[in-house]
Parts: sequence; C-alpha cells; structure tokens
Amino acid sequence: MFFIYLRRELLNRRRQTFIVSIGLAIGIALVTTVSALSSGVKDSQAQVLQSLYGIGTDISITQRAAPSDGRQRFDVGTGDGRQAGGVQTISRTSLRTERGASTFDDATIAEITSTEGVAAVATALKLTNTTFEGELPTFSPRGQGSGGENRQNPGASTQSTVVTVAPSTTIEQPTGGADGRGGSAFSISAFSVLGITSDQVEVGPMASVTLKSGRMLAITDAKKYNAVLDATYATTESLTLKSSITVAGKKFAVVGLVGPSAGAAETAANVYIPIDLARTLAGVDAGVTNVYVKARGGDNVNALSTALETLLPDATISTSADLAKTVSGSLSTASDLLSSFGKWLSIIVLIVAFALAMLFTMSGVTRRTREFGTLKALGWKSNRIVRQVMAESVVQGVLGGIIGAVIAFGAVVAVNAFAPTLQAATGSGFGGGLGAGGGRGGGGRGANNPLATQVRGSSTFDVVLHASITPSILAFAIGLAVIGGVLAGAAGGMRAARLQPAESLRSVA
Amino acid sequence: MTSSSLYKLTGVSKSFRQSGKQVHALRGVELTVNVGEHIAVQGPTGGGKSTLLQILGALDVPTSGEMELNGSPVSKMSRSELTKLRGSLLGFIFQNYNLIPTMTAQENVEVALVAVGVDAPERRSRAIEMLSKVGLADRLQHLPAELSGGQQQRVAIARAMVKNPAVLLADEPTGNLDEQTRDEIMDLLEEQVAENNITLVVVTHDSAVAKRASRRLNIKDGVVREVN
Repeated sequence: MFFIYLRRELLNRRRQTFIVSIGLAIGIALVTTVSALSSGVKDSQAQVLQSLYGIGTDISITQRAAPSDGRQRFDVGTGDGRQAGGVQTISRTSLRTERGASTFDDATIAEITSTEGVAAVATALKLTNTTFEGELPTFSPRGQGSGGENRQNPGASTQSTVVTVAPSTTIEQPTGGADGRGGSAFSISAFSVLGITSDQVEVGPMASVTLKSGRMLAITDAKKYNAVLDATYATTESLTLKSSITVAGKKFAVVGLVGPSAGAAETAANVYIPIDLARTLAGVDAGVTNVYVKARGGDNVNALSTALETLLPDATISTSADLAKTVSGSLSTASDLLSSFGKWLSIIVLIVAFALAMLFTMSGVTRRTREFGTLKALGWKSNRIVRQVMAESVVQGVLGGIIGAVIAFGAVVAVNAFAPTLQAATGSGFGGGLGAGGGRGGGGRGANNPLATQVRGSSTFDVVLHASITPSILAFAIGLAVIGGVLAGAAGGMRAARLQPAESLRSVA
Repeated sequence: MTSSSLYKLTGVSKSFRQSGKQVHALRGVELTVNVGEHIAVQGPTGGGKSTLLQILGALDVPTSGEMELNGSPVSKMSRSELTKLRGSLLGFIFQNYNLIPTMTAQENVEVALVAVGVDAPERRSRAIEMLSKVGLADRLQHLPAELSGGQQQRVAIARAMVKNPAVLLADEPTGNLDEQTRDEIMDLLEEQVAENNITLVVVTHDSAVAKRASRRLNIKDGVVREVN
C-alpha cells in the first residue's frame, strides 16, 4: 500500500509534484553549475600553477632572499676584447643565481625528504645566463681620467648591470667607438637556466614538460655539456637539435626540445643542463635554490607545510593555495566571482527552493487535512502518514535533483561549447619566453634594464575554461535535492502528525 | 454495564474553543448502547450530534466524564491506544464519503485493512469481496471522481465494513443523496449490520432515516434525550 499510495499521489497530483521538483531543480541546477564552473576554474588555476611549479608539486621551497648588491657587473680592461679601428669590441657572460637567492645544502634536502608526509622531492638550481656585448672607444694610453661607467637603472629592478671601464690615462680627444666619436654601444641578453637532476621526473619542473624532439637529459649526461631547450625559446633563437648553446662561455649541445605538458601553460626554463655543471659554471659549490615537494595524500599539504615551516624557519614555503593567491587577471576574477557571488547566489536560491518545497508540502498537507483525518479515523498511525508524506517529498527531491543535474549538464555543455578563455597573470614567474633584450647607452650611462622583465617579470597565461560535472558534484547535487525533499517532508509530516482526527474532520465538515 | 452493552457513557461533557468562544458541545451525557442496536441521533445543527459521534468513535476524548467501550475506559486511553481501537473495533461513514481521491475504489477499501496489518493478497481479496457485496464488482478500478455519489457511499460502506467492526458510526450517510439512493444505501447498511450483528449509530437530519432505527436519540445544546 505504501508504494501504491506513493505512486498514486505523485501521478495524480502532478502539478504539486512538478512545482516542488522544478523548484528544487532550479536550485540544484544553479548549485551544480556553479560547482562545475568552480571546479573548472580550479583546474585552470591548477594548470597555471603547474606551469610554475611542475605537475604534482604541492609545496615549493626557496630560501628567503637576503639583502644583496646582486647587480650584474662586467669589468672591461683597456686591453680586453678585440680592438680595431679605435673600437674595442667586448663580450662578457655571467651565470648566476637570482639576486639575493641562496641555496639549500644536501643535509637540508635530506631533512626535507625524511619529513613525515613527504612523498617525493625534486631539486633544481635556478640560474640566469646574462651576456653583455658592446663596442667601446679605444683609449689612448697617454690620457688620464676615467673610462666611464654605464649604470643601468640602478635600484629599479631586481637585477641591474654595471659596466666599468678600467681607469686609463688622459684622453685628449675621443675617437673611435661605435659612432667614431668616442661613443659606446652595447646589448644585453639573458635566458633562464635550470640545473636539474635527470631522474627527478615525478615532481618538479621536469614533471611538467613533454619531449618534443630529441631526448631528455639522462643520468649519463651528468658530466656532459648537453642541454635540453624549451622548444619555443629554441624557435625564437633559431636553435635546433643540431645547434649548440653557449652557457657561461661553454658550448652545450642541444640534445632535446621540450614543451609544456598537457596540464601546464609553459615550461619552467629556457635551458636545462645537468646540475653539477650548472654549479661549476655558476661558481656555486653545492646545494640547490629550489626544492619541490609532493605530499603524501592531497589532504596532507597544510600539515606538511606547517612541518616544513618549523623545520626551515628561514625559508619561503608556499603551497599551491598560496601561489593561487598571486594569480590575477580574468581567471582570478572568475574565481572570486564564483567563490563569492556564485556561492551566495547558489545558497540563496537553494534556501528559496527548500523553503518553497517546504511551503508547498505543508500547503499540500493542509489541503489533504480531510484525507489524513479520515486515515487516522480508520486507524492509521501518525508515523505511517508522516512516512508517506516524507516519501512523497523525497521522491520529488530526487526528481528535482535529476532534472537539476540535466539542466546543469546542459549549462556546462553550453559553457564548454562557448569555451571562454580566461587570462591569468602571476606575480612571480621563472623564465618563460625570454627573448633577447637590448639596451643602448651613450656616454657611459645606460637607460633601461631589460633583465627586469625578462627574469623576474610577471607571466601571463591564457587558459580555456572547461567546466565538468564530476561524480562527486553529481552526488552532492542529488544529495542536496534529497535533503531538500527530507526537509520539506519533515515539515509536511510534522504538520500531518499534529492533525487531530476530530479537528481534521470537523474543519472540513 | 451488562454483558450485552457496548458503550457506557457516564457524565460525559465536551467543550472546546471555536472562533474565540467556548463551546459546550456535550453536557453530562449518560448513555448506554447495546450490541447490535441501531440508533439514530437527531437534533438541530450545532446541537452536539457530530461531537457525540466523535466521542463514540474514539476520535476525541471527553473533557470530563467516563466512556467505556467493550469494558475498556476510552477516556483514559493514550493516542496510540485510541488509534488501535479505531483500527480494530470502529467503522466510519461520512456524509462526504471521505474517499482518498487518488486511489481506486478497491484501494480505498484496502486502506482500512492496512491499519490492522492485513497482508496485501488478503487485503485485495477481502476488498474485492466487500465491493462485490455492495454492488460495485465492476467498479473496482474506478477513481472516486469516476463514481456517482451513491457509488462513492457504497465504497465508503465497504471500507467501513471490510474489517468487521463492532460498531459502525455514520455521520449523515445519506445527506448528499437523492431519496431513491438514500433508501438503497440504508437498505444496504441495515443488511450488512444485521448480517454481522454490528451496532449502528447514525447521525441524521432526515426523519425517514431516523425512523428506520430501533432507538432514537435527540441531542440539543449538548444534552441527550431518548425519543419514544
């Protein structure tokens, strides 16, 4: 009789069933759509973060920057370089860590690796190769005075360049140089270099690249001057697998070209070389600048982050959540919109939907006062009637959940068909499309520092939003609908239970 | 209380608030009803007829006084005991039939057996048998809206009778019917109660219906008097 009564009520009171179900469906559809969009935005954020971190990296550790002069310095003596026709042509290369960056030693890495909750660790030595090339006038040995100093935008950026020409004798009349009248011209180019350990592919920068051509660095490359290049950078610099690239004055054979893997927007550096060679060329005795940690279990990240902060009080430890806060642009706007407006709109609509379902159910019970009074007169217990009302509401809730999920699915398909592109800008990036920069200074003073934007500048990513309804979102939606049905049924059932048979029959007599 | 008495009411009063006013629906009712009696209750509107029927039907309890049914003190019973009593001993027939509008005739009859825990196959067979007895064998799967007033009241009688109650309480059972249908329904009711030695209490405004009873009561301002 329970199911017969249930079926009869739902089918023969279609209007009530339809209104309650649709009310819940709209609420559920909105919540599900917002959840799917939020999930899509989170995936997009993760995609951006992966390009910064490497896929699978939960925590990134760097040494807190120490105060440092840090400016690139190129000393040029009067006899340096090639001299011809009053022009002194010089070229200087520097490979060094970022300004103020310091390294972690092997003992610290071992401590990090043995920390509870660490699943995998990768390390890297993050460097910048800067090349200064220029033409200066040849000075007469008879002259007295200074050659001059070229200071590029001192203090305005994270790195600056100082070029000092060694003092020489008095200059009677400037001749030679780039313009033949004692002027100078120079250019500065830079690219990012990552010293890596070739077997660390589960986490860290090498986890977010895929091989485009050639091969990856192998353990046997540890002492060889072989390099892997970012394919985009290689194209920009017209480099191929048969080419070589000069890093800190040493020629490296290009053995492989890589691009960002599916989840990443770009690779972590322009050039990858074995870490031991990177240390030697950069004059770093030991250690690494960056440590990438994968937590054991996704829920463990915060606890592990706290443990690492305790272990390394002077280090900067950032989780993907921390890094997400640095992402700006339309992706961030969408995230903020969904997490604030979308969330509250969903909650409000859901509350309204629940309230409507409850009101309609209670109103339905009121309309059925005589029916329930009659059933009680026939000996039906109150809990049997409550159960019946609850069941009707729960079924309406489930129907609402299914309809809501279908509507949400349609909305998600529409969003994905439209494929909105979100832009994400990150405040701290490493590498990423470094091109040759150049500056031209005259009279010994330069104007701009191209390194400022090349090495430490912000990175911008375009990410296509892809919303998806996962089984957990679907279960959550159906669960909410059932809760809505249960609440409505409870409200209606309580009213039905409170009905006194005599009053029920008297009120309609 | 003699061995054949079913109800014994001693000083039963019932009062309640209605539209902000205190209503004294029954005042000190003294009444004994024997097994198998056919009683008609008459009286002006608002005199207390329906309230008396609700007290007799364990739908309500007296404000004061005592009522015994089959020797059990109904006035002191809990709500669940009253529910159980209604399910097992009492049958109701209403003026507006009070059928469940979304259920078929057969299902409406089966509803009465759900309360007493009869299993589904037996419920079905007893409902069909009872509906056949009241002449609705060919209307089993009809919804109330598809039946005439007389047919709906027959379904209501079948629903009241199907569980073999000790008492049948009918509130204006023919109030919405024409004379011919009224007589048919009363014939059917009397036939059924006689067959099963059921006590029948009918509240009615209709003198023709009242005259068919073996005993007539008149109730006015909550006071019950025997009509000779």
